[in-house]
Amino acid sequence: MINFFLKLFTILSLVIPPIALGQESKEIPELTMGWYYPTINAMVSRADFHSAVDLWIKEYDHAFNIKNTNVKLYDHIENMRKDFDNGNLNIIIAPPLLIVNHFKLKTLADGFTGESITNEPFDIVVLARKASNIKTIADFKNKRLVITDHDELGKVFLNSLVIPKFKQPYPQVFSSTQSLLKQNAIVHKLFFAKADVGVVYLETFNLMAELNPQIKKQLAIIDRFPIKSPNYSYFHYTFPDTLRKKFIKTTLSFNNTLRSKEILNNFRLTSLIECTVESLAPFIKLSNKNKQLMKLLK
Amino acid sequence: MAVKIRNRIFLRVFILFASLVIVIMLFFAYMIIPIQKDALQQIMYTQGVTVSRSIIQASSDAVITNDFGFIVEHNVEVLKNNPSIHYVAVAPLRGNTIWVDQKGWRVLEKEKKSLTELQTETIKYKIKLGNIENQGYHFVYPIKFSGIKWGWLHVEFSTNEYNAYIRSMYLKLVYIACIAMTLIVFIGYFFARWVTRPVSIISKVATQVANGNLNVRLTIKRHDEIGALSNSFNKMIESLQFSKKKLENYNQQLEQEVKRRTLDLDQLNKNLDKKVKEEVLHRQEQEQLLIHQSRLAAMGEMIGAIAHQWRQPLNALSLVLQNQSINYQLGKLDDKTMNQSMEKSERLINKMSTTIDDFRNFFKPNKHAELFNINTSVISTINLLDAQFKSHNIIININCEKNLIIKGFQGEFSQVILNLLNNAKDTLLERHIVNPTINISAHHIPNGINITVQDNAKGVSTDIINKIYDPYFTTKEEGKGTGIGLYMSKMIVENNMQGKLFTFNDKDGANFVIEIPTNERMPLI
Repeated sequence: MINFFLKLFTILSLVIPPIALGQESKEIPELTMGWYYPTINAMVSRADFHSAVDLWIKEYDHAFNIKNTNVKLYDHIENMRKDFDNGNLNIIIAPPLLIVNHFKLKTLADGFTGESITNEPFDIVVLARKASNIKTIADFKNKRLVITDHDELGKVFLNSLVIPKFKQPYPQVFSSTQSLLKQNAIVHKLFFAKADVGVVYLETFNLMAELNPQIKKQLAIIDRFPIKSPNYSYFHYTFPDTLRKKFIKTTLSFNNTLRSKEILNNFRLTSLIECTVESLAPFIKLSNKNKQLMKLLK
Repeated sequence: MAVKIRNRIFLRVFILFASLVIVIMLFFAYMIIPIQKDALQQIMYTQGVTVSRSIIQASSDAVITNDFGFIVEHNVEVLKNNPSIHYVAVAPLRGNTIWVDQKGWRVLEKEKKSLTELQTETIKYKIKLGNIENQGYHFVYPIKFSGIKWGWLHVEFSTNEYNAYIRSMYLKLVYIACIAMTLIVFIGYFFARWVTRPVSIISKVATQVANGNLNVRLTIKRHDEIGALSNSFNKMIESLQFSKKKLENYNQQLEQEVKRRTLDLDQLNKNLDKKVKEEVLHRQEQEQLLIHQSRLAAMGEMIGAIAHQWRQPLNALSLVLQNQSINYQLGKLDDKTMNQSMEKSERLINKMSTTIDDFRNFFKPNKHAELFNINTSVISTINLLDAQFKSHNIIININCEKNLIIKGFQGEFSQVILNLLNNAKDTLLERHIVNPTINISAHHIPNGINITVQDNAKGVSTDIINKIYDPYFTTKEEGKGTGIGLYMSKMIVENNMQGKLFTFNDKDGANFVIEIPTNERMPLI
């Protein structure tokens, strides 16, 4: 349970500065944060997450001179987009590809995201078992794939790799596709030869290899797609600019306290960094490429 | 009497109490520590069983389907949530062992001997010793499904908690020991004081009583044996006090009685002294009388002796006178004859005069001790009786050493010899002894002189031999003996000469022996 609160606190810290912004802030009648839940489903249960967020968010009432604070969890990105467009959400937290695919970029204002403790990008990587004789993408044919649920970026990236080669989307290239909740399980499946190819974050792979160096001996990275963090946070463009900057400034100094560092370490994050709307460019490019490839298949 | 500190009951009770508490505490610690260790090991065993079953139950599907990924993931989570577990190792019957510890996990390419040696049909465990970091409780649980053996689950628990608990237990024991020692000091002091204080008070009061103070009392108010002892002691003091008063009264009465008796005794003593003096005086008078009688008797005998001595010269003188008368009638009395008769008469008269002088000297009392020769004295005494002995044909043999000179009263010694010779003579005559003989000898003996007067008158009858020295005892005919001769002789020898006079018989007759010691008062020259 303690771990849960630590996780929750860290995740929330990515998007909401926990320190008061000062008395000069203009009174905001309501602050609502929208969270795309499926990406964190593997880490915490909905009930625990919701209870913790409710408890935590109340502390911001007085700190930010806000009369009312809310957190909304979304299982469907479309609903989240509608609320954001309608002005019901002030901040959104979601995987960057989903933001690119479902939100209007002009409605977004700069926010923040996390930075890996290894100072390496999280990156999406495609792993393959060396024992399966997979050295290039061309060897994927009829191999067993294992992939994470709701990992839209992974799936799009995988398609961007296999469609040019096989003229087929990835489900048809692999002999089987297994979806798992946790990325750790994907690495284990590969290691114990229950699958041949898998898509995970590089951070996860490095972490797993750190726990068991044998993993790096048995698995190889076939390709990778750069990404700073699994989730990006952006404000609504109507959110007061001064207040938003103060939010960001406060957020960037989040790791100044020992307790905060411990929390970030648990998620293998060393700090929070500013995230501009322009940071979404690689994902826009990937999305567009994927759309073109899918058109070609049709 | 002061009691040494080490002998004090207080100290002994205190030490006894403290020793008992320490012994009980040590015994308790000795008993409880192994029990606690066993209990802790049992807890670890139970923990091992619980954790193993939990892991196997959670991983059962994965085990059956050989989903080692899940097994790893689950065990990583288990280790993450249980820092006290060092490692979990899943060793399938076929395949490599999966090792998960707090740092990570791996597949063992080679079997570890430490794992395989414990892989049996039953649950095994082993306590691993070594450094604190390496100490652990290695628990091995065989994995079976529907009776089919699949493999083994190894779980090693940290014994830190166990060690910490043991350390904590030791610390608690030390803590308890410290508290116990403190309590021993305080409670033991008060306990010992509580136990011994009445005894101490009783001892002090008893000492005061022993020193004579009977006005003290014990004030111990208790309802136990000490209280009863206190009451009894007080009663005893009261009894002593009562007895003392009674004794004092007795003493007073006794003192009065003693005073009265003392007065009586004083009076009696005074009377007794007077009586003793009177008796002594009387005795002395009696003795003087006896001596006087003795002297008178001696004088009587001496007169007879003188008569004997004078008879011969008187006859001779008579003959001289008769011859003178005849010669005168015959006209033959010439000058020559006259002178011869005169010379002879003078010689006879001188002899008679000498005899008188001898007897007078004999009876002349000696006022001072003087040196005299035993032999000479004996011969002088014999000379006094010489006429009588010759008239009765009694042979006198003298065998005295010539140089026996002692210091004393010669007259008294001669009187003793005279008495003995007279008695011998009388006995010889009375018993009509043929060839009557008296032997007188004197010679040295160790530390003295022995003078023996021996006769051949067949001895003194044994019936009277013990009575012959009693005063007025005599065997002679009435008018011949007074019965004081031997008595006086004995008195002279024993009182004036510090000697002994005794009698014994031999084959011939009686032996009267005088033994005179030679010392400062009676030296032998």
